[in-house]
Amino acid sequence: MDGAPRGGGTARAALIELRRVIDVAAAPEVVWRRLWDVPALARCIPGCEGVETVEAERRYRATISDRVGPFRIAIPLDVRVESTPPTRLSLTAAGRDSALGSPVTVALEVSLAPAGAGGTRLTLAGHGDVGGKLAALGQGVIDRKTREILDRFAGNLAGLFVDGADAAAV
Amino acid sequence: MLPPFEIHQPVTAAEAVALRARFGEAGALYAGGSELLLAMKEGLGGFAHLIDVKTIAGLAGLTLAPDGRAVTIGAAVTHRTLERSPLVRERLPLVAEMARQVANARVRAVGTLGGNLCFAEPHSDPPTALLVHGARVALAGASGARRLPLADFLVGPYESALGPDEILTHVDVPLPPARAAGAYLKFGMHERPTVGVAVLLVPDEHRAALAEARVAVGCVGPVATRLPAVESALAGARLADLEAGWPDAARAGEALDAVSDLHGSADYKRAMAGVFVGRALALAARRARS
Amino acid sequence: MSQPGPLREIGHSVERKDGVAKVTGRAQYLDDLVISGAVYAAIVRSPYAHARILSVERAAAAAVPGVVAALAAADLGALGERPFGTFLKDQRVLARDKARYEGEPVAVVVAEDPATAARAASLVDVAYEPLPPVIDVVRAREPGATLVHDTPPALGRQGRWPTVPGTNVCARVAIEQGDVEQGFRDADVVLERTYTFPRVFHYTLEPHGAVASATPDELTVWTNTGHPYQLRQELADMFELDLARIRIVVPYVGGSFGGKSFPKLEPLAAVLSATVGRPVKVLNGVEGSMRINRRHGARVTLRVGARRDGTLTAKHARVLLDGGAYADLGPVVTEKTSVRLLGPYRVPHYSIQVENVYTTTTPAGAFRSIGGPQSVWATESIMDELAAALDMDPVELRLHNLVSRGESVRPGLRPMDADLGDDLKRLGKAMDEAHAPEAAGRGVAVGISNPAELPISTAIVRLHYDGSATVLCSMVEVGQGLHTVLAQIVAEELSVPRAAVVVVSPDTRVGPYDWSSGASRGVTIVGTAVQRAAQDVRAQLLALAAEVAGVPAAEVAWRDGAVHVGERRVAPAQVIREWYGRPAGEVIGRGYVRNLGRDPAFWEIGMGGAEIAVDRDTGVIQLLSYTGLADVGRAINPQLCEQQDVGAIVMGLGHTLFEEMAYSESGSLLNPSMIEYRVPLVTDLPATLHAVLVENGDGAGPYGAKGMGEGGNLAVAPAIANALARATGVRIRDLPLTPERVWTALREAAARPARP
Repeated sequence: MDGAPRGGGTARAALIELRRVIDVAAAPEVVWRRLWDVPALARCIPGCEGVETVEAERRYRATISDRVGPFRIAIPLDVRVESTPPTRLSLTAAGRDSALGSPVTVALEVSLAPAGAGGTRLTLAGHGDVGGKLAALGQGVIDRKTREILDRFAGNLAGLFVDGADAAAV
Repeated sequence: MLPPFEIHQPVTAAEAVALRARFGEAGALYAGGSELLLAMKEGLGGFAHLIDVKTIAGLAGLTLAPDGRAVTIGAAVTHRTLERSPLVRERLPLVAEMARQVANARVRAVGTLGGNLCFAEPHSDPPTALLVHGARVALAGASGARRLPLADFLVGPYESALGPDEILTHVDVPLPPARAAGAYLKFGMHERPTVGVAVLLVPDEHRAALAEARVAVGCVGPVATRLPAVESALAGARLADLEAGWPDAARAGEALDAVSDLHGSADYKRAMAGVFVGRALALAARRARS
Repeated sequence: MSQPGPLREIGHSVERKDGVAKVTGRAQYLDDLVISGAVYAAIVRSPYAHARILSVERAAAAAVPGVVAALAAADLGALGERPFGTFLKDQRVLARDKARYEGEPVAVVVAEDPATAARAASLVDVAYEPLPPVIDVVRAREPGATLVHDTPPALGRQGRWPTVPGTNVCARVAIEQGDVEQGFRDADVVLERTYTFPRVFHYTLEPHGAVASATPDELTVWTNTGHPYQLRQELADMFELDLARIRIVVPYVGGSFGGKSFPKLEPLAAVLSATVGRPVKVLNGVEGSMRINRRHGARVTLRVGARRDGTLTAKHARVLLDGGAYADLGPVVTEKTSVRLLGPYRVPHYSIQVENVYTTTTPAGAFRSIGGPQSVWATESIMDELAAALDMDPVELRLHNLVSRGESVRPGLRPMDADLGDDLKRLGKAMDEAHAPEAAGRGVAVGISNPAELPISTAIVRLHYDGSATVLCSMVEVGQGLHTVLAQIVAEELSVPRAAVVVVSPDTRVGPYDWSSGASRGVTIVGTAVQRAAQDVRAQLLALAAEVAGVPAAEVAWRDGAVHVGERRVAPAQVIREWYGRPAGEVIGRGYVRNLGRDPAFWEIGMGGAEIAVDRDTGVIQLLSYTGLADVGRAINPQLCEQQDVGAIVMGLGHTLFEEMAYSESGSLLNPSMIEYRVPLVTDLPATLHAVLVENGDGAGPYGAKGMGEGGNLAVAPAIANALARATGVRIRDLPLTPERVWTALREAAARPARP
């Protein structure tokens, strides 16, 4: 029983993990180009609006907004991207919600590898974290909401590549 | 610190509905304030207008329906009133038992049933107890009134089916069938419970076996919910056996959509749901037999 | 110092001096004070546990009507740069380059009213660059860990323990004796276990606050501090003023438990007042207080060795204290923890090392028996584990190893001044009397601590010509009952009615020096200063009476509560009237204390025994009875002693069963208000809860008293965990013992194959 305390009831919120593997019937180079269609990619993120390019392929701004019951939560995010074409794309988004100033961060690592005959295996791995009063007010709810957004994003992203069509919306 | 806001005190439901339409997202319904004001003090909402529903005529009513088959609880009735009302204590003892256990004396004194249901804080007592009664909510809106089962009204954490131009006017709670007995048990270490369980048992005419069992669990997941699988598994169970302990109770919470939070991990909450379903069944069975 | 003759006042449970004022609401606390011209500050806090501060945009806030100023560290000039800290100068009134914990003050808005200040504060826009948080104390200590403080801070005035550069170690203390490895070779049984203790919050009913008024040559601060004179020094250093030009005024205080020790909001209020040129009031609510101070979390890895007969041979301890973002009292907590880990036992060989580690969480500081509950949690849990391994009764094992009266606990410290074995047997008897038939398990624990160091205090007693008396001393009545007990002492010494004794709350302009309000030192040290001052009054009265009567000093004496000139009995006040020749004047007595023999002035003894039942379905521990034992030397006011001890026990129930400041991995406090942070409630108390007071008249304080009030919480957690182990066979080494933790442990135990 030595080691870190656990099962304390006063749960230590862990980061919200995201991991998703998407197989696409297109070559990595094709998939890579597709990922850089910023408006299409933004449409994959639920509640994402006002995407702005600060520095092409490196820095963007966007706001994610959602409702929790009667409360509207809007989070302006600063998005930074690092890439190693055409195999790796690393993305961090950080900001604070406009009502409470609670920090929200998302880190996402996208890797592309050839798979099957001319296909690509896209691996998404990352985590989200919500802090401050927002986390304290409704930890379970907020965690679930964050996970939901991340999951829907991953799903939408997969949709982008279905039959090569722009199936972004859910 | 509570940010400044303007308070509006309509005297009819129609006025309240009009105010909602007028203020849109800048307005919020204010009933007891025990949840809303806390959130506003934290900086959430930023509502410039609060629409006080307590001034609406009839919303504080607590009456037996004309057909004698349900109790109509006005949306602005406080937990304290529910707890003490002879009508509720006699005809809906399970609701009175639940209301007695809501939060603390200060919250019970100001908090209202309607406010509680509309705010839809997931760790709350009333929905669970009302679900086993098959309660229906009555809403008034710009396009008229509508009624829907409570189960359909409860959408998610902090989310109800209340439209942006509607208010909740009252809740109809059908009287339990004759001979029915219930129990409401809650468990937790914090201000808000980890689990709440309501059980309503309808025995057969010999008070020996169950004609019907209704079981609901709250606080564990996003919304309070009935447990249909548990209810059907209980069909025909003998009261004496239930009183001694239902062997399947331990697994009663297994299928629940539980959320990990400060009140406990999902695993623990599911397990506690089972424990308290078992205890509530035993208590209700004892009450049903006597 | 024992007193010949019967005592009239001492040993009686007289009513509290402050009781009626407090229950009727007449007592004036900090927030009740009206300081003319005062403006109000609202604090802008860091939302990040660790972040570089890039910019603080304050124009929008400053433009709000009613706002006096919106200020960041850069606006405060030299005062904003000057670090403070009694032991390490590592803190500033506002974070400058980086914020080191969620909730750290980063900017302030000062306005004509609190609501405007709060509203404008939400308009201050701070840009941050998040840095990696340092939340877990083990990871904080790993090589290459992110540093909370990039450069080592300087020692404060009372500092003796430097930081370890290049690490997050804020203070390190190691003590040893003998050859610990030899000790383990001498052992038949060796156990090694790790115990953890949570970060917990003081939760005083009255949160922190301060009102400051700074003028170019004088600084006045009204505050609910427990340490007016420590604070005076800090502010004198910060403002470069003579001590005499700093005035600290303390009104009624709604609890401290150590949380109001040393500077808290006072430097901020003072700097703000100096900056805006008006008196500034800073109040911050309970939520704000959770961002000021807490108890050190701890991770204690203990190895103990014993012979087959139970004789302890060696103890090895490695401790990480979670000190939070700033040192506060941390270095002293580190030092005290090292000694408190020794426990009340004879251990020939030991090696103890304690490190206080910086993390990006609320700073930890003084809290009712610093390092005590953390140490005793580990040492008294392992005693029961050892008893089980040796197949011995846990009480017998303790009795076998307890140090005797007069025996050394640690070289250089006062030898043990209590009969621990007798105390433990008395506890057992009291527990038998409190026995609950439904109990499933019973556990005991023995705690000792070395409080009351630096016994420096002064007092003034003014006897007036009507026979009433005014007592000036500067230890703060924080609710412990100090003023009542001091009045009893003066009434006893001067034979004046207790009701005619007024004890004045601290004001450093008039009240004399006192080191601190803490460390269970009130009765022993401040009580001695007051007693000496009263005795000084008596001595002067004798001299005055001799002068009036024109007789040699040898012909006057103090007898039966009055001056006797030959056979003529003269009441104390009459001596004054006769000497001055009219109803006028007074006699001023003074009492100084600089030491009371070897440190500590006394050993504080806190034992406890619990009886519990366990709900195996839910993991709920039901406490059926709890019996505490405090060895108080002499109870000047038994009821106050018992209330103090019971209060400490109830507080101990908090860290034992409920309390923990829960942080997310990114450093957010997840239970930042009293809605989520669970403290013990009246409904959590056992049916039987009482404290046994042992009075052997053997303390260094007045009438043989020792200090008390902290010891009650030492034994609670191990006593209950030991009871749990006896009831269920499950040993839990992490606090708090929440139902889920107990349930999880029970389930894991049930899943393990039974031992053959």
